Amino acid sequence: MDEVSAAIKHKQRMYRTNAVIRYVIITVIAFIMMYPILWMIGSSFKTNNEIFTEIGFIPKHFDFTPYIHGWQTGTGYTFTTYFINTFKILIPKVFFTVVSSVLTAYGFARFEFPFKKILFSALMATMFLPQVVTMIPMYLLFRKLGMLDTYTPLIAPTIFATQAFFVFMLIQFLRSVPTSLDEAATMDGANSWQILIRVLLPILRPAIISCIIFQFVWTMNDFMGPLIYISSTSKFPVALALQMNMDSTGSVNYAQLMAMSVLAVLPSLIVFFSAQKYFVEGIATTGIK
Amino acid sequence: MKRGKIGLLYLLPWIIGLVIFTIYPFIAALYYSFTNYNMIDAPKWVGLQNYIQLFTSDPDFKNSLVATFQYVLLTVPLQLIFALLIAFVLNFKLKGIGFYRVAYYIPSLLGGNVAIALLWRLMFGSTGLVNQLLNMIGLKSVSWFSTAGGAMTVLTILKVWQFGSAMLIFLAALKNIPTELYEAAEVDGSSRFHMFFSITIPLITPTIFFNLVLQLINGFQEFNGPFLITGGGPLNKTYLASMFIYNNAFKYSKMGYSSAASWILFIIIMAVTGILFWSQKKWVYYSDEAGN
Amino acid sequence: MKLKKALVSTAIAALSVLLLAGCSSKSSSSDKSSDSKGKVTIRFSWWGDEARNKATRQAIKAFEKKNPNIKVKAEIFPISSMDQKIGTQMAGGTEPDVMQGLYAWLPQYSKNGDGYYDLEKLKGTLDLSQYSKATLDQGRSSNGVLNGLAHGKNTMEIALNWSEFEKLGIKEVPKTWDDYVEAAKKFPKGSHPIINPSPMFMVLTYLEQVTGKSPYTASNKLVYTKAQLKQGLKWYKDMVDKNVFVSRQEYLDAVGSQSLPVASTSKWINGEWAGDYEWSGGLLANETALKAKNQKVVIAPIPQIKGAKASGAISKPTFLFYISKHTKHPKESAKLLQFLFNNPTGIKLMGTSRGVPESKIAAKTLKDEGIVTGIVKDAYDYGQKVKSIPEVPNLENSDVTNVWQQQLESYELGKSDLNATTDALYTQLKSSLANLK
Repeated sequence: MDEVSAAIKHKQRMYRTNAVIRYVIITVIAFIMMYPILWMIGSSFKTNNEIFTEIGFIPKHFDFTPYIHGWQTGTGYTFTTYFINTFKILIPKVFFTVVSSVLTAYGFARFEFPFKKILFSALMATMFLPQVVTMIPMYLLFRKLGMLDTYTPLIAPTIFATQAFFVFMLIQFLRSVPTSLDEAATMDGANSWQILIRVLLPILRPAIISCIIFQFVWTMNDFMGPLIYISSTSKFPVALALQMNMDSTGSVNYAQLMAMSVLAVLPSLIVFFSAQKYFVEGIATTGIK
Repeated sequence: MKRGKIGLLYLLPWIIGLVIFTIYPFIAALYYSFTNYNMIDAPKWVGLQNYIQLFTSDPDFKNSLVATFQYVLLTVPLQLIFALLIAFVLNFKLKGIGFYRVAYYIPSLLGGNVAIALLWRLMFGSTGLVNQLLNMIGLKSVSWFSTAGGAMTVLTILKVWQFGSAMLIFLAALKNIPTELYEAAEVDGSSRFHMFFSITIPLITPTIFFNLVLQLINGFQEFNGPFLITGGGPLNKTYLASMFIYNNAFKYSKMGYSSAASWILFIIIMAVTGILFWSQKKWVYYSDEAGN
Repeated sequence: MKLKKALVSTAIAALSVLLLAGCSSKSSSSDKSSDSKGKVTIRFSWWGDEARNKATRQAIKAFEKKNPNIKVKAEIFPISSMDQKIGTQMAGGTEPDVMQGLYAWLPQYSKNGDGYYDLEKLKGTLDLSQYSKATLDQGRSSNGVLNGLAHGKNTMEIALNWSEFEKLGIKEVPKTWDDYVEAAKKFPKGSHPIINPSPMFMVLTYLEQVTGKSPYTASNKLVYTKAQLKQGLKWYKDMVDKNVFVSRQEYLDAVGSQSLPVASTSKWINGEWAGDYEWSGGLLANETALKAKNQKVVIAPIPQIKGAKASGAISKPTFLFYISKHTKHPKESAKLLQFLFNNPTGIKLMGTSRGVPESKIAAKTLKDEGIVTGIVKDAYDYGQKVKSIPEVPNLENSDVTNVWQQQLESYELGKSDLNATTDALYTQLKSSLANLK
């Protein structure tokens, strides 16, 4: 009996030490990962000189004027406008991306049809050509359609699942879901649409949440797209507005720039924080078949 | 209705998009690559001249291809391994794991933010944080930005540090592994380490494959790092292909030339991806064709 | 079957909405710029820091008040991506009516003078008599069409952190290169009298003094001989070896790529780099950075070599203001330029947010108002006083400057020796310049 309890105790101690080591390691890495954002927050309270001469992130004093002044901007529009603009692009983009990508991925992953291989190669190939060279033809196309300086060129392509990344990702996830599930549902008399909605969507939830997070974050950060298609300052999204005040030949107020950068990251951070819980939930629903 | 037709129906929106938003600009870019298009005058047909010039008389292009391959070979494996290990750890049911997930994803939330560019130059500067730490443990300062190796290392660290997307995809895949499998293995007395290689890895090969393909494509097209931090230097050693393409298109107004370079990069990426797809029969396991 | 119908109709609906939206807004956009009441909208683009954005906006407001029938739409864009923005717009013929632009955009987008509006056609509205002939000539295309209105004069000048020099016991502002060599001896290890963020300009300054000529002709031919280039490279390296100039290696290690201005490096703030050879338009930032420490910045004259045939001062217009050749409202666009640069109200509102303007009335108004002060005034005065050879717009062509930067870097980092560098520099400059024709 003594031997057994000693063994249990030993095992428990090992578990505890293991847990401590694990926490120490992941905490150290977490600190390295978070250092930049801590530095950004710290810098938003520093003077220009402090930012460039001190690498530590704790400021000497806290003063929120950079946040207030930065929000006002010198452009005639406040960041309120820029945030609203961002969401005008972001919300439809995320919605259309998910719907169109799921449909396309479902078609590729679960059906056989003529030219499937060629179409799949075409899907992949859309990711191979650097965007720089397709930019001009696309721009000329949207000019012909009279859509410059509107959000349409940024949103419309997502209706047609043009970002192969999302389609490819969902295909890979669907392919790791056994087809026996579909077959069982077919036996019960479900058609392909019902299978997608009732059987596969719940399983795909973690993947779809990833899609939402990615598209959200990328759209928040994207300034190349808006740079090309949007001209009026009144229609700028946050990412572009941030770039605007970085004129290296003039005097840049870095504290304000950092303050606004911190605020620009917040929505992504909030979305990610609330979405990551659903990964945990994902286990409960999909782990048990 | 036949299943094949239904399948195509689901693809319909995508096919329409392919025609409007992909095929047209691709053909236009291909046409430009055979012209001297400079974005103001009408393009003039020059045949293969751009391609010949790229291969025979432009050392910058050769240089950029070499740098790009170095970059891809360095960053892709490192980022994947790191992302997978972290995802594996973050999949444990530990207290406060949500906080760590967020913390590890923060670098990827920042993207190509201007703040990143500043911070990295400050950190790796001659008297920056990194050199200070090196001195503290008795090592000499490193010339990060004036040596080819140093600059490439800085870019690699930046890329690996932004491993969040790959990690998230791994995490989503790990969530789909039935917990009974681990429980069964635990009963058999397998260690975590052993389980990782015998259960986790084989079950998520489709995701590993996906991340590998994606990281390769992204790696070949990396732009932000050199654009924001090294400017392609020193001595053009971090002048990656995408930067070559960008500079020729918009700085030097040689859109035709730039398009030709893009098509060469296209073919390289296609070849590498093609090899990967061919190889997946050997190591990627899909549940939908297992026939269980 | 229901599903099929639903999907097909959705797809078709989506497509037709897209196309219809396209067609309809196209027809409306063509006359969007003027409505039924005869009110016209002109687009005006620029880039800048917060102060410039504010000043320009206020000036626009005043302009709109004075001209109630004209609305000015501001299109501010980030400097870091301007190549891309202007490139796409020029390719699409969608550039704004009025543009703040670079000097280099003149040959880049208007080789034969037909890339922008001919400003001489707008003489009645835009008062060109406020500008000297030399100033106007800078805005002319290679065949003499007045495409751009030069805003101010940008001169490469040496700004010294004089407090740092005084600290080292140096009493007088150095006048010759020998003075600088002597001064450099007093600098501690790792500190230097001058940093050249773009070494090309320092080499060109030296070679202009040697030859009395600017590097390229108006028809983009290289003026200097191989031997002269070699002499220039050798001299520059010699000054680096004597610690007068910061070495390229030290510069790269401290700054990374070139996009971070010297004024915001710790080296400048801490006085380790005590002098900066920069365009006068950017020197305000150098002064501001040292204000917190109460350090003084002065403009030092460009040192002259023995038997110098020219001052070596390099100058270009700060900006050229262009009017689009596609504009539907040339007169209104010219009115805006006239207001911003030649009307006292506009001039005062714009202030020195773009440096001191070349327009005679603007320069006078600003000086009378006492708006020009500190380093901006010193730099302006020096720029006006010094005799400089006007440079061709392709001086800063990206392709040409890239050749200089690559070669100077490879020479300084020891990748190639003097002879090899000279050969490469000479042949590559020739071929880059030949491509510009």
